[in-house]
Amino acid sequence: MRPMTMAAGAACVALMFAGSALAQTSPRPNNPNDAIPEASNLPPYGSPINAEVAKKVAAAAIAEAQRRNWNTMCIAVVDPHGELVYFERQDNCQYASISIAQHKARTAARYRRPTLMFENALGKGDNFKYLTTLDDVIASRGGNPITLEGKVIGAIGASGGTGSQDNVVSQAGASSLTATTGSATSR
Amino acid sequence: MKRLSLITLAAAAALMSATAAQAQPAPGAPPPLPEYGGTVTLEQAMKMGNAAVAEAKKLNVHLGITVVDNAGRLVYFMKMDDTRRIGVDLSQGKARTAAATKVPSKAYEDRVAAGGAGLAVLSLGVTASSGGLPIMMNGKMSCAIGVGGGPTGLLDQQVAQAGLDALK
Repeated sequence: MRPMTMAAGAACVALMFAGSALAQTSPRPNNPNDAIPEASNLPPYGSPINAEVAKKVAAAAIAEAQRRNWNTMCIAVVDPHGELVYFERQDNCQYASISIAQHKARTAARYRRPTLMFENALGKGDNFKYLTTLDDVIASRGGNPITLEGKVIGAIGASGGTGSQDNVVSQAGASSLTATTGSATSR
Repeated sequence: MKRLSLITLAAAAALMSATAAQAQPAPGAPPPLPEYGGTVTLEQAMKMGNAAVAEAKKLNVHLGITVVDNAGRLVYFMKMDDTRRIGVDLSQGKARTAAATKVPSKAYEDRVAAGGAGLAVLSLGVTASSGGLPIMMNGKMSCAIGVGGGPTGLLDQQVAQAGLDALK
């Protein structure tokens, strides 16, 4: 009886110790992720972009590429869920960019922010490495939300050049929508 | 020795006639498959896509429309408003099937419908549904178009054909 009680007591102590060790996991010093923002300022989702407007957005992106004499771009336009609505591949595009363009668009839609934000955050150091463990992240610029009246109705992704080339083409597409009149969404 | 050379001669003759038979397709045999060659430009792919969309609007249907290169890689894609979601995967699957097999995807729908040993095509990863067509340019196969999401596969194929015809 007595040895058994002792063993049980030892097990209890061990358990408590393990528990407190977990509870005492301390944050890394000066981790900017410890700050708790008072508000979330990401734009809300709106109705999904329609095919006609998706085509116009892509055309504006392609026009920007052509203006700069680039013939290497893939352009993908997705709905707010990240599902493909429209896609064009220029004639001299590398094959890898077919899926990268779609990935950038998908990520920009599902996270409601430009993929440049992930690229920048990873550049800030170790405290942001966790971002690579999140679903569907691509830390490369070129994916941008398409917003209408402050709401995210889709996203555009460009790939085929340098990240900076991709982003200027992508932004040309995303920013073209403000000039559009009439209904831009499918419902 | 004499007997051996006779056998050799007979064997050679048999081989020659077999070769000759191979060079000339037997009556009733399917036509030879086209050679891969050439590439599709974005401009050509958009022309096909636009023509397919116009045909779909005429028929009052909502479809996914895909153009792929010979490797099955995406060149052009359009999902019309209100297309049922499976139309996206169907159109891409049919286009890839036509690109990979050099025949319309209807060929696999027919094989499955016929049952028996033809059901083996289901293990190939093909989309066994009408609406995918291989596209020839200058006598060689250059790309494929796939349409999906319509009420029937044959209607999808009609829209794909309208896209193909835009190149002529």
